[in-house]
Amino acid sequence: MSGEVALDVRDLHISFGGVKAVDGCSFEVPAATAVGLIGPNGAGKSTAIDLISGFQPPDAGQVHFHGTPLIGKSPHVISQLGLVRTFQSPREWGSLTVMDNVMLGLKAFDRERASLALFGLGKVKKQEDRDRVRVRELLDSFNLTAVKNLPASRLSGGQKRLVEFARIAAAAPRFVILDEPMGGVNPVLGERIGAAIKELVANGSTVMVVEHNLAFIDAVCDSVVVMAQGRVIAQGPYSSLRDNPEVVSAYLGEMDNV
Amino acid sequence: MTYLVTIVTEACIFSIMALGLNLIWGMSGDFDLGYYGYIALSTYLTIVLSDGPAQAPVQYVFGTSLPYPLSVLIATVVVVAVGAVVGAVALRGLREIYFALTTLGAVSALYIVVGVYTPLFNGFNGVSGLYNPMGTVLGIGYNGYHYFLLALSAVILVAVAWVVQRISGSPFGRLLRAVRDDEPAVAAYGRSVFWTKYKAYLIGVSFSGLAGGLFAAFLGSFNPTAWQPIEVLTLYAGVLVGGRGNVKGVIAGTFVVYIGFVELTRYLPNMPGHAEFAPALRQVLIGLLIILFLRFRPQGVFPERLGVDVGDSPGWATRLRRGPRTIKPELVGASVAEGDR
Amino acid sequence: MHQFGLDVGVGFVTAAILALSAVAFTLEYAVSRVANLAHGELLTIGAFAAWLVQRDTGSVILAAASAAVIGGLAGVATNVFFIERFSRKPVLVTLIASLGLSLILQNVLVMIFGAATKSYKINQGAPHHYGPFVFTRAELLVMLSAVVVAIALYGLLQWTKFGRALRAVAENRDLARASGVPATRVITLTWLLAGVIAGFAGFVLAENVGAFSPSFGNSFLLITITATVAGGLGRPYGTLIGAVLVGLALELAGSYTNSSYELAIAFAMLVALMLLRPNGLLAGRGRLVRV
Repeated sequence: MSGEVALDVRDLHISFGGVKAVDGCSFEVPAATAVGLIGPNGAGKSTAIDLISGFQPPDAGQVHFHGTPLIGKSPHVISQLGLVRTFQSPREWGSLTVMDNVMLGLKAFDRERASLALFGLGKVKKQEDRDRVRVRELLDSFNLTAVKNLPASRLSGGQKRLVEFARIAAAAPRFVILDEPMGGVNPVLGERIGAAIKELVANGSTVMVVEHNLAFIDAVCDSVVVMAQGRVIAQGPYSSLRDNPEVVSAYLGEMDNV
Repeated sequence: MTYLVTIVTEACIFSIMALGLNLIWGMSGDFDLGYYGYIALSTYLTIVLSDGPAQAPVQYVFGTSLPYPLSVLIATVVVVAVGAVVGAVALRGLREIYFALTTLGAVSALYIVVGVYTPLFNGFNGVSGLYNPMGTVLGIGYNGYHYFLLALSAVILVAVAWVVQRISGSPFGRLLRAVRDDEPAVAAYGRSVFWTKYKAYLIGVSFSGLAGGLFAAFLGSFNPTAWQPIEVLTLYAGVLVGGRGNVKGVIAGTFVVYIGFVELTRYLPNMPGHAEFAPALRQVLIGLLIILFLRFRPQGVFPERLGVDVGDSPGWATRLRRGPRTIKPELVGASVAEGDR
Repeated sequence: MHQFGLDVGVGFVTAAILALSAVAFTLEYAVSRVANLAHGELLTIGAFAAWLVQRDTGSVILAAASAAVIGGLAGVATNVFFIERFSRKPVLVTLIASLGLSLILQNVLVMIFGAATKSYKINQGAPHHYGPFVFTRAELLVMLSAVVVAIALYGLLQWTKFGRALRAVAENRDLARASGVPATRVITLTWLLAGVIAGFAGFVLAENVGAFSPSFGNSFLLITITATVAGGLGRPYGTLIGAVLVGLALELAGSYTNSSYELAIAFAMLVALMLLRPNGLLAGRGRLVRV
């Protein structure tokens, strides 16, 4: 596991209506680490995430995930390969209960065949019940037991973020990309999220966190990739970036929580 | 009595159609405005497959004098094949209003082609001749036939309802609802949104095939004045009023909308020389119903029921109980009290 | 060859009427972000108003004016009593509800006036040759009115304060509001404008076809949407171009096949556009990823 490259991004390019959003973005993420992806607004971070996770085809470039090329594959195929991503706003399934939200995180794809709904439903339900025990533990570890039967739309923003993490934990992916997980989150919740990330890494997953909250990045991530104007301008441990003149000028005044 | 039997039979047939829409729109979230096209196609096909060869000046395809059950089966298969093509094309990249407008455009084009291109289904005059199918085979006379058709429709309705209910309570059903709520998140967790919707679409279209077959037996004949694409709104009204996603709600809503409106307009005074007044009023009320429910009670009279998890300690044999109609806070409190920290 | 000129000529007239209807539809979409499927009824109401006024006063000019005025009022009413009430709901919900509204409006007209087609004949004037084309005086006026509206709209959008406010609201309603634009008033006025144009389009369509009925606006709706989508939903200039293209394409296609299929061809065009160029013919393919 040490030394292995989980994600190898090479020279990604994409433009929208004449504007180059990602302009030759390249970086590597070592396995079983937590890596931060930071940069000023408009640097192309979220676009790069969309390109890596398959939600947007690039104009050029390649991405390798533990050796497997990702470009050209649909988002759900990439997810099945083990790369899960979140979105900037919590994307819970509002009309499902919290419990069902997390159950849907499990990699139980074969149980969801339409034919099984008619024949063999009993066996499927027994399999589900076995997983339900683990999911209850997960919900408990995120303090969601009290709301497990509520439709997810009724939760507060912070609770929705926790549901997302419970869902990720249920999916146990090899690689997780978190797109601004701290958006609208109070410090206590932030600590819980930080702990969740550390736990994911301890279990062998690789985590990439896109964030503006630099204190959080400093606390949680082993190294940081800095993007500006569609390109990676620096990569390395967070402490080394403070002295990097390119990084400082890219942020120019935005780095007040350093 | 005959009148009551007729109304209930027709309500059963419409309920089968509504359950198909419930799968496609209620649970999957695809607003298909072309659904009536499948129904019409199936009705036409059932008639022309069961009829003998066309006698001039009437023209239509097939005319193979097949036994009625076989005609219904073939009609359903053909309709599902058409749905497979439409779904493959339209569901791949179109969502929401684009999908709605595309299906509306497709069914409107179909309506015109069917009405103008006579060799297909005899154009504007339509086809007829399906008289009490299976009646002679089963030895049912004229007097008893409508009871037979009622029973047949009811049986198929129950079977279709069972299928939809099973889907609703299965992991597949849960996935459908997730797709309805948020598609990118579903893809991010490894499920193909297209294939999920596609499967639901095909199943929903197959119900329209069955309903069309029954409709053919019910009406005996079919022509463009018997159907307009916009009548799909009446079906949507039933699904909306009853409760989208809720099988019993959809059936109840369809019965209420259909029977209620038919009865209502029967007792309305008819303006002399103004034959369109009552039907027009009926349409106005349907439109009002749709608007009012969408605005004030979009979940319908019987909202979708959530499965509630009642087991609470690790290692316990679990149970998934059908929850109440709406999750009331006190009920959540009850399951919390069942021994948690 | 002469036939081709005639077809294109007729196509221009169709395109002109289509342009009026479509640009109104696109204005509605631009400020409210909904496809108003009851839009056809704005045309129908305009046609009825014109017909009633013409019946009582005999004046074509008064008829046209009343079509525009009543259409404008209907537009405002649609926005205030309907669209705005659904502004917090998902777009699809408003779409379905607008179908319900369309159903209501059409059938209320049936209840009052009956479902039968009414004839609407006004003096068209003698046809004259203009190069390879043949137009009557009425047809010339129709095309002229479309051009006038297009130019006026351009002037409005580019050079007036209202036009700039409209564009701001269409771009981002909340941002516009935060920048001091009276968004609600702008939206209401836009619907007034759209209603005026649509009502007038209804009058023009009725007198061009020579007949109208409670459902005739609705039957023009899908073609209107085709033209709008061809040019790009919510883009007025694109819509105008789209209308010309669709109008011409319709007439040409209709002349090679049985003209009863004309509507079916229009619907086929709509389906093709949706599948291949949902952002309009002038935009790129769009970078939608299929999930």
